[in-house]
Amino acid sequence: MDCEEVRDRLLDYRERQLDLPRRTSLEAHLLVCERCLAELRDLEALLAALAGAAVPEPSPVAVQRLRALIAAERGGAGPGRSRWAWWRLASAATALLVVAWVAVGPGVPRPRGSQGPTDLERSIAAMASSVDGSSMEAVLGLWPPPLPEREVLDVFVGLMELPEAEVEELLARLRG
Amino acid sequence: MDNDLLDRFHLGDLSAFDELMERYHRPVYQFAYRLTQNRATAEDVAQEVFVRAYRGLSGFRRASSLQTWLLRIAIRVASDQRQEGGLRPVASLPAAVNPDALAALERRELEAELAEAVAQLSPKQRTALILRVSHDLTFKEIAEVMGSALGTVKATYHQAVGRLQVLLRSRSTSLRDH
Repeated sequence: MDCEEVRDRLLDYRERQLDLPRRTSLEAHLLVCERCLAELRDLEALLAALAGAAVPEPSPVAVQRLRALIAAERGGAGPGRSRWAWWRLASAATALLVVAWVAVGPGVPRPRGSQGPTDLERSIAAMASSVDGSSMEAVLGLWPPPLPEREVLDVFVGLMELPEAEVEELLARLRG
Repeated sequence: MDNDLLDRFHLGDLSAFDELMERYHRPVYQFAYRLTQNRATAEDVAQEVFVRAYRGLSGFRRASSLQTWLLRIAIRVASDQRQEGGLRPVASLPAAVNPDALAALERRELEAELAEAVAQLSPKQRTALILRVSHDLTFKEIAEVMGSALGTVKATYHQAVGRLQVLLRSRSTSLRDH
């Protein structure tokens, strides 16, 4: 390897991303090239400085405020209050709705769009109805559900494992 | 251990969420601080992350780890904050604890320069860099957190480091001296 090739691969070398032949070739070059070795040392120093950069502790007030907020959530319609985990309720409601949808078919009139809710939309509606207590039918009938922005975002917290693009698309549709 | 917490939470044991906060508040806050370089903003971001996590935990399907899920929420919250009003002015760094005052001053200057250079990266570059260097996540874990392909994450990380090297190249004192 020449110096240019070595410098292009120093980060991969440091991150152990090089295969054995390339690693061996690079290390052989470093044994005889002071300049490239200095580049590697600089790179390592930069990454070490970044890793070691000081992070101030959060203020005690901030931690207390967070605990108070969570306590307030529990005092309201928090997810832990009911003996049933609400996701079980939502899942059961979703299953019933799927059955109902299959039974009724695409003839059910919908206020917007030409297509019925997808399975994912039904899941969203199930969660939404669990959040604000409205019936599944009422939520779907008003699709997209008329939830405040905040609740819309919270509904999606549970779906954050979805690919980013899918979440963005659903958010855009919910916001109308 | 996380599965145990989640199982308890789903059964209605509210103390499980308290334990979750104990376990993850510091890494989430530290991640938010490194992203935003502002303590007050990082506290706000961390707060919002856990409030959203509390509301959404019942829907968490365990396809990823809790840490991955929380960091994903943090990225979204920080992004929302950026869109709403931009970052607040960078707060001053805490004083370094070092008996040698000159070395301490140089260290603070170095960290300030590093912070300024990191702030010039794109949000995705900054995120990939912080998750790898400061939180020691594997590239695969970073890809899960960012919702990106593995190759994209590696390329983004390379771009971030390359950009930092360019931004800091003019620095007179070598980083190696610290």
